[in-house]
Amino acid sequence: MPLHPDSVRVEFNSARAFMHAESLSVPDAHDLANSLTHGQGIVTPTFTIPPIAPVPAAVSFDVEWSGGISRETVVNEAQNFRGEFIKTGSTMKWSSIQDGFSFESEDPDPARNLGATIGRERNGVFFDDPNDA
Amino acid sequence: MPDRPLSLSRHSFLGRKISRHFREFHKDRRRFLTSAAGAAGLAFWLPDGANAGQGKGKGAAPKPIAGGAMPLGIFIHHFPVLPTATPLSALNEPSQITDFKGYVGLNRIRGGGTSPQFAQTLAFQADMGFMKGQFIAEDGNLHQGVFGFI
Repeated sequence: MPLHPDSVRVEFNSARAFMHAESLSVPDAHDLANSLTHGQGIVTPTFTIPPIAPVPAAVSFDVEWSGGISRETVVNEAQNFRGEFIKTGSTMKWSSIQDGFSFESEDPDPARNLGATIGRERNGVFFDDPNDA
Repeated sequence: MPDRPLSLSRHSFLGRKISRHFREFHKDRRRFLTSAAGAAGLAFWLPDGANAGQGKGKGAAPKPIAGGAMPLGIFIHHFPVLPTATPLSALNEPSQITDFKGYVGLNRIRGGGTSPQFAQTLAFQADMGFMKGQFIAEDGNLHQGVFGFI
């Protein structure tokens, strides 16, 4: 979804990036299945997620990528992208509010990171473009 | 859009993996998180909903990458972030936008949180990301923008 131009700041040479939003309007689809099926739910032989219509919500977050772990130039011709990528640590503070429910995540904790990557890349028609954005 | 719930075979690899995942993590999702995971996936690019919620005219909308993953057997124009232990050489396309040059970021956090509506700590997981740069939109023109994967 489009974000305000100032919502993302990248300090690539320092292996840092920041993403911020406040009271961003989003639909809460309730669960992944209903998000993917536009509220149609899903049925399998072993579990069922019933159809649930999305409800309006607002979310706020601060996400930080920092602490370079490894850096590599990647050229992936099969997926038609190339660039320089840095595996980093990351933290997040996240909250949401909607009618009858609100949630606030715990304070940012680097130990909670399961994976984080930032990159400077080119893909599609820019795959062979020698000029960076 | 289907007019009834989608079905998966219990014998498929994906069906087995999804079943296990839901048993362990999503069994009663309202109890561990009402909003976060619902918002996650909001920015997934579905083939029949690519322009939903873009907030601009279709002409300026970016085009999705060709590839992607299939959570719950449903194709989306997005690859999840690499786990920390996986080398960058195994990286899949981090951008959801094609004909794009700029900065990208992806991450995954799993932790806890609180809600006034629940006495106990709630589990929390979020996959977040961004794309910031230039792209050729559906109108064929060069645009500049910032997009979030939320």
